[in-house]
Amino acid sequence: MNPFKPFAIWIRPHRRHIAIGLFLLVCAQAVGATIPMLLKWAIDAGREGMAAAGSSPAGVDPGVQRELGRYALIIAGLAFLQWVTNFGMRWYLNSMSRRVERDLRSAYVEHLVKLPLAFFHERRVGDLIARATNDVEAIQRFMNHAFRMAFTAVLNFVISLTLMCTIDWKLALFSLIPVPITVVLAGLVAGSIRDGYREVQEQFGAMVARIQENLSGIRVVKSYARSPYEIERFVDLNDRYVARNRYLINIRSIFYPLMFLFNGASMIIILWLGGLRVIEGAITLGAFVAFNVYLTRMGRPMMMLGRIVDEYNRAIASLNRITSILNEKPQARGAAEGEGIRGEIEFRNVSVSYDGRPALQNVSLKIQAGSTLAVVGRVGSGKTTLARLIPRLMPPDSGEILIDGVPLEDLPLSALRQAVGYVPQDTFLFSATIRENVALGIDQKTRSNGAEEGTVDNDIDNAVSVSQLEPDLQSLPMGLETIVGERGVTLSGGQKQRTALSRAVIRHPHILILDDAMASVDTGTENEILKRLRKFMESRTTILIAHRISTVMGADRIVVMEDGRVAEEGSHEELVQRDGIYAGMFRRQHLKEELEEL
Amino acid sequence: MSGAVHPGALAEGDDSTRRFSPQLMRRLLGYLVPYWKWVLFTFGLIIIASAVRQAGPYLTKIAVDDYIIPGNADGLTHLIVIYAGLLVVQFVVGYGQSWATNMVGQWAMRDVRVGLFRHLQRLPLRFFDRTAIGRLMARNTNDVDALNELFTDGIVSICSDVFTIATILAYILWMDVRLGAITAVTLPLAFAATFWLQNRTDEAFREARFRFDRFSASLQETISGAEVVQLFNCEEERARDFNNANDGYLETRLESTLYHSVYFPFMEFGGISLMALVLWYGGGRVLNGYIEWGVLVAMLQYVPRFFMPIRDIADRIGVIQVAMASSERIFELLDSPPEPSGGDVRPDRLKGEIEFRNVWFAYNDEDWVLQDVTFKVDPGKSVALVGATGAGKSTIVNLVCRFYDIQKGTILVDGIDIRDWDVEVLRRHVGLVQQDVFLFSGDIRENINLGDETIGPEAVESAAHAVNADRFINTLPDRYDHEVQERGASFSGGQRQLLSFARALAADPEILVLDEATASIDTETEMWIQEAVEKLTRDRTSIVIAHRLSTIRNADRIIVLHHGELREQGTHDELLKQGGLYSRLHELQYTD
Repeated sequence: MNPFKPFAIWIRPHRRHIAIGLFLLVCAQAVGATIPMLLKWAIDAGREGMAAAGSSPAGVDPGVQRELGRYALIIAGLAFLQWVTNFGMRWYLNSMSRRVERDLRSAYVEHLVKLPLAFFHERRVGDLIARATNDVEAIQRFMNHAFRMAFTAVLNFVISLTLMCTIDWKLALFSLIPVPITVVLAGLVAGSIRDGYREVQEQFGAMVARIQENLSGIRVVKSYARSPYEIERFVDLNDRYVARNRYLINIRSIFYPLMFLFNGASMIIILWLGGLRVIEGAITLGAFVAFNVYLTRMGRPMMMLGRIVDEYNRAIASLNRITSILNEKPQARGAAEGEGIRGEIEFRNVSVSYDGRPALQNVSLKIQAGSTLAVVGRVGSGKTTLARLIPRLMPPDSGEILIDGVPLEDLPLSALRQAVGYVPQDTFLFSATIRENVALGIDQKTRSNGAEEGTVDNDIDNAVSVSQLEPDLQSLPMGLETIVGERGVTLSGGQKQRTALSRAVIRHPHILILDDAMASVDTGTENEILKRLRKFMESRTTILIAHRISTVMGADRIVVMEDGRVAEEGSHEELVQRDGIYAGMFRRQHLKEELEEL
Repeated sequence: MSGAVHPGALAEGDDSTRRFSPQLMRRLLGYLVPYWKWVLFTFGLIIIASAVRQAGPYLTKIAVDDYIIPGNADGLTHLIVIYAGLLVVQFVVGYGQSWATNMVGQWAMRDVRVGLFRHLQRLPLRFFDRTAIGRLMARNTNDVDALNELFTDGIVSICSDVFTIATILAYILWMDVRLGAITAVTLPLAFAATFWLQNRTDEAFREARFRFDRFSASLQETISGAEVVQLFNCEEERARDFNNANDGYLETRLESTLYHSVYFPFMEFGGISLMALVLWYGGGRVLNGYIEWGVLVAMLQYVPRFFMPIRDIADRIGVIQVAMASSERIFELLDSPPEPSGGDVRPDRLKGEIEFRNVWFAYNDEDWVLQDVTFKVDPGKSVALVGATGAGKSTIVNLVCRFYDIQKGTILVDGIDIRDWDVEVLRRHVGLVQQDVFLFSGDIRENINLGDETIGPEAVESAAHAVNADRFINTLPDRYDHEVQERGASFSGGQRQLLSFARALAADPEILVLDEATASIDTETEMWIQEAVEKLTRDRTSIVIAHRLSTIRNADRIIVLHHGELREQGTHDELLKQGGLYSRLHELQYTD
């Protein structure tokens, strides 16, 4: 079984890097393995020189000293060679892991943005981000270590063992007795460390949950003077956390010294058996030294093997989490070619429900191209659902929606959304300049579409003027270039809504939907915006969802929603005369205005 | 084993590393004081461990010179027994040291966490209004973990590394001063290389961290704003932006990779070169009879061991820098001023009189939410607060509990300024029922007595019975032992309200502050709630933000607020007759 198989598609583009890296790794190992042999020859030469000199007063032949010097130079030269090859090896293999990291992350995000909205409603943001960060990093760490360390450990072991066997195979085998034990032990303990770690994480999760709960309920905690009890419970959780850690610490505290113990055992075997062999005259002192150095070189890579197994398991789990997202089906983009959209909208027996609760029930409605339809109704009456169906932010459960007589699903999604300007009640602004937020999605493509340089600027000016954002821009430090959002200036609710409005206006949509989009804008400004919009909306189909009667009065037609059904329909005058729901709303609105003036 | 990275912390713009600061360090070390015996024990063991661990090559020297070259097999065996004994000692000491170090870290971190938690309980609500919970969570989790690493992987490991270097030098110098001197000379060189790496990678690391934060923030926005992204057809644009940031991140990462690729093999090169030098110079000294073969053999074993701790120190410095930044954030939180604990008025029982005298209050600066509000509630009477959204009703509730301090005027409870009351005692006598009921994890009983042992099972059950909450509690599988899951998501709005009523009644406060829920509730539960509210307010001073007509009608007095001012007060009938604000509000809100 090939452990790298699951990662194959990610590794393949970098196989050249890997090949070069592994080649250099073999070179470096080969070079490194000869060094102890050189030490052996040098020491043996020295010993022979001394033995030859015996107890003669002339001392050792100076040629022996020069020979030692030559060996030392060769060793230093090989060390330099090892440095260079190791540098290349690390660079090729480690940078490969970073590139795989980049590829994974961008493939993930490129796929993510294409997924249907429903997908995002079901997932937690933090979890989706964790996949692009923690999970990708876990894979990177494994890629980084796996090639370098696993290959180093195995190669080092094979070459060293071979060379040691050429010197004295019995001694070589004896001294390596503790090695397999170490590897197996490392694997076993890595497993129980992982289990212990998981338990610690669980307890940690409980602790985090408790803090979160406490902070969310801080008012209750304070008003019922509950904090001593809360602290007591938290201390208790902490103690349990420490207790679970104690188990983990115990294992780890035994594990690492135990590794040293086994490593030391090898050294003892060499010292003892090897020493005896030297005394017997079976091997030279140089060979004894070479054995020592080989064993020292073997220690670290062997200990890393256990860790790599652990990292492999984590990387596989992380890869699965990423692949599961990559396997999600992207949003269907629609079939037919896009043509100019006039903007006639028709709902045919449309029903929608959320978790079994009906939001729209058998709604049928036709909106003429270029006309303005206003929708009013209580919170939860289905107004927003109605609006969200048009740009396909959600699918209907049953029924059909047609634009210019064509079913929505048959329109190319991007053409549909290009044609629809939807302004929701909750405005989402990106941490970017106001200009970027307004010109959202107006990219090079659109610009090159026959438009001249500077047209976009004109469009922006026009858009902020229609939405009455212009006066506010003057009071902002950098005008259009002011950065807003989490890392910038905080805009008021009204300013945000007007930015969102500009965003829709700049696209010159054929269908404009304002979903309670001016709730945070004061009445005076709203009237001004409506006045300016009127000209803009002349040739466009407009759907206006609002609570204020003053907003909807001027619409061609008004629809009153109740419990997911169209309850009343007609012009302002007709509906007031009818003395139904709309008329009641109108009266209350009147009262409210009076109240404001008191 | 590295701790999990929590995404909440990534979105923050805080610096992720910080240079060493002695003040911070001193304060951090303060957390180790209670465990000073263990700390001493640890350091004692570190010294023993380094001495024992580095004895191996020296024993090899003795073996070579005294037994192997002279050919004394028995002597060698004796030495091996001693060596084996030392290995066992090394194992035991290593275990003890690792255990003590990590446990001290755990204990100290528990203290930090509990200290933080304790402090959070004492912070004013104003603090929670402007601080995101995610940020506070990150303090108590990621940052505390970083501190733990500071102690275990930082301080202790660096000490251990330094001792290791010192012991090796001591052994070498003991064997041969000249060889020792040569080895010592390479020390500054190795440290220079290490600091070179540190400087180079520090910058790259900061930059990488910064770019990482950027692209995860951008990703977070793309996901949270998925709807806008799709509506405006800018999926590709967002992906492209992300890819640019991602590529930038790769670039800085590759820069560090390059430095690391140079450094680590270089240290190995340094080690082997030193071995070569030792072979040539030490070999010469052997040939000339100044030292014996065993010294050379031991030296060849010491040299590679010598460079390892120097390499490790480079890693530890990084750990310390991260921990410094974390500790600064933790201390900043610990230093934020707690809410005043108030005066020392702590009566056992209250009469329950509340008086507002010319109260002015603003959440920020001069945006007055209450303007010159004056009213009085007699003991046992009930008052209904009425007004449009934003009129200041909830603010009055907050002020009675002294969640905020007023800027002008006086609030009196039982004729005593609210600021002279012990805050905890005051709150214990004021029962607050909020609009959105907060349920804790734990069983139903705990959610009613809120951990107060003096409220026994009978008291809990009778409170639940009195407010009709027992009607649905009795249908639960384990009744009062039923565990509340996910903050009570499985309960309906009405059931949650009934539970909070039981909670208030069980605490039996003299003053009740009730913010009625607006959520629509089925008619049967609605009836139970009406009945419960009547029982709760009976013979109890109560201030109610009323949304039910029945509650308003039953109130002894109605106070009408408008834009932060008290505009009308009186009974329902009186106010209706007046034909002012109230009559219009009444028509607007309570008729259909």
